[in-house]
Amino acid sequence: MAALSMLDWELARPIALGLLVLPIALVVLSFRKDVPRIVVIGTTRFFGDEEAKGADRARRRLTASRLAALLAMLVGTLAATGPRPVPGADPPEIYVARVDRSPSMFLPIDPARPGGDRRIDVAIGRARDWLVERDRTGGVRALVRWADAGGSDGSPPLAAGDAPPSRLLEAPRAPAAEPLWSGLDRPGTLLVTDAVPDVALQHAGLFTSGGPAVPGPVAADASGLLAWTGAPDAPLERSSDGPGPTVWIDAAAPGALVDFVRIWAEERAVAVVDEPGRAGLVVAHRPGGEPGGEFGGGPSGARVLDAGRDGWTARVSVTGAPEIAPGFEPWLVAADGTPLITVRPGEVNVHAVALDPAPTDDRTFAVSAARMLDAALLPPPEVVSIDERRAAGSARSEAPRTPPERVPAVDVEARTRAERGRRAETWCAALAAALALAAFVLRLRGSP
Amino acid sequence: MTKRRATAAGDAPAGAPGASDGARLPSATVRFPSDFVARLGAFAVQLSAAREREEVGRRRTLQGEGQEFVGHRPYRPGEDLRRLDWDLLARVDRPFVLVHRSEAREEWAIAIDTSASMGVGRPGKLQSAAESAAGAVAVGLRLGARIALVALGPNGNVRRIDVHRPADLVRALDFLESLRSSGEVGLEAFLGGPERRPVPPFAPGGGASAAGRVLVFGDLLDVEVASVLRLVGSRRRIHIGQVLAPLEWDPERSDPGRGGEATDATSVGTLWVDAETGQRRRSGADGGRALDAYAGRLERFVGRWSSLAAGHAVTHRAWSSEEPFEAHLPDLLR
Repeated sequence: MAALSMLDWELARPIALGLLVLPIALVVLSFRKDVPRIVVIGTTRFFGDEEAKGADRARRRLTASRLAALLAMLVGTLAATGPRPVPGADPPEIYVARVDRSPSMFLPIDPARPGGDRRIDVAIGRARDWLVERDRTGGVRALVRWADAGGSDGSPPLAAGDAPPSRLLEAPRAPAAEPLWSGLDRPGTLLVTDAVPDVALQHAGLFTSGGPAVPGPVAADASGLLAWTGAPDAPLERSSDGPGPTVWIDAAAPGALVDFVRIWAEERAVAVVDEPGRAGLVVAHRPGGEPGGEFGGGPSGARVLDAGRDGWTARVSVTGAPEIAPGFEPWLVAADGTPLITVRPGEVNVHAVALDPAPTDDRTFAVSAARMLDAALLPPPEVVSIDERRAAGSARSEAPRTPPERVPAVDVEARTRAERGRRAETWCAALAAALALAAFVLRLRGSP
Repeated sequence: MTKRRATAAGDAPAGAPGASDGARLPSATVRFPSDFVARLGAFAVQLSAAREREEVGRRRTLQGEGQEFVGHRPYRPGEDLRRLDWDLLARVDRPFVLVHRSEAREEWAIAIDTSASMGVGRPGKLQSAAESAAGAVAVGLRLGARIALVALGPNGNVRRIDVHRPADLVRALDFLESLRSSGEVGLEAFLGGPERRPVPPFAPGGGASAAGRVLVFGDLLDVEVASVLRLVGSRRRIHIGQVLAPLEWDPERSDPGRGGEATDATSVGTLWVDAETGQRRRSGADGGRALDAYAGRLERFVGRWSSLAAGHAVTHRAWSSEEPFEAHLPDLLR
């Protein structure tokens, strides 16, 4: 019982502990039979000269079959008592840590040590330190959901000392915008960033890494990178250390589009690379399905649709049923709603298998598509804007002004407890049955 | 030699604490059954009549040699014709011989072992010895013997009663029923041994106080062969009644219904506790071999007494305490 209590479990039917009389009786009987029978005679000398030493001592005879039966009864008794997790007396405090993932957070905290801790590491560390202390001294368990400041509710509640999900610590492919801090100022929220936001917080806590300005590339063009020295008004310096912007074009994409992207790259001094790996823009062909499939039509099995935007039209062929991948936005959609080209920073997905702009709309198409490519093109990873590279001030840790609202999810908790209890009961019963079967088999094989 | 003393005797009832460590003697006392006196009477009549019919030519029998006429029996070819009753032959035309009894009353000495080892078994060895001694007393009284009945008291003192009339049988039975099994000292208290002199009825030779017929009842576990040989004399007959409990004859038979102290045979073995010394022997997982060795040693032990008897004109008979006295006493009193 004490062990169960330490594990925060209880017994739903403690009266079933009365069944323990069976294993106890079995043990007692086992040891009772272990005493050798004592027979008093007058002719003991004829048994020889060996003195029996300790022969009348009770000997352990808890044989394999009896041990299995004993364990079966113990585990069966445990199953009969209905073990259940103890309902939590106090619901925990569940904080939400909103982590800023803008480019500045991934700059090194010490510009002289590029491979060392980053601002995001330091800021998260400060938040975790506070959570651990809160959990230890706050009189109530402190849990935390780690979330992207610009994203959803984040991870399931984790213990205060647990590390946040690793994805939060990775820089997004496309630079994230600075969070809208005023919208995140809620009770029980921890804002994790590098510099103090320019808003007066009413509820949320604040954990900043601070950090000096980090010199480095702030722009790129065909001739290389433009670097900032860290001085506020100093002119940018051209650096030949890194590559300029790059694009990778999937050769399977519609020919007209491939040709246009090549022209655009040449015009913008964007290098066309052979591997999509670290390209600033990836133009990928993602057809919706095999030609001649369910949605196939026409001689080639592709559907021919009309589409257009920004004043141009085109005849587009598409196969299957293309879908918009997560994070992408439609840029060109057919009249029936079929996505033909979808875009997100750094990537263009071309779902059409053929694209033929109307001859009269060539110029309009070029302008429209060039804007799309310009917007989607990402600078090299080394390039971070001057605003992001500026000094973030000193580190700061401020506890939330308003703790999280502690509303226990009673139904969910009860259901969870019941489910865990049923599972424990089932396992115990199954184990008891297996042990009983083992005892029976051992008995059949001659174990006393 | 330091031996622990069994404590079962004295005033303790059957099942009183025994030799050591809580071991108990299951049959430390004697209790004659209600029909015992009747059985004794019938047995004495039958045995004495049989002896009276025995041939006169034997040198010594229970009947003995003497001048007192006690009856006739059929003549057998080769017998001494001087004992033929010629008058009877003339009258009935069949040969009979005269049977006489010694005019001098014979002195008998009967000793009973009351050591703790006699409290073993069910029925107990002491019970069986007492019944056999009672049977001998009944026969002896019927044959006119003067009998000294000797046993050890609870304090180790020698108790003795003398009976010589049939009416004394009741006293003899009371004496026997008062016996209690205890202690380490058995028959050597009377027969003598390396450190002990025999008491008068059992004194060697043919002195005035020496009995002409000596009967001892016990398990003989504490008796030296030399002690018995010292008793042998030219005109003395010695009868050795050796009683062992069923579980001593065959330890495998020991079970609650027989010995009372045993449980079912189990693989953990049996602890054999000596009733007198408290010594322990164990027959466990190797119980079969241990019991075989036991049986061999016991057989040699009993056989040694049989050999002694055969070589020195001593009558010896060994039996189990569950055997009625009527079964073995005729042979013993041969």
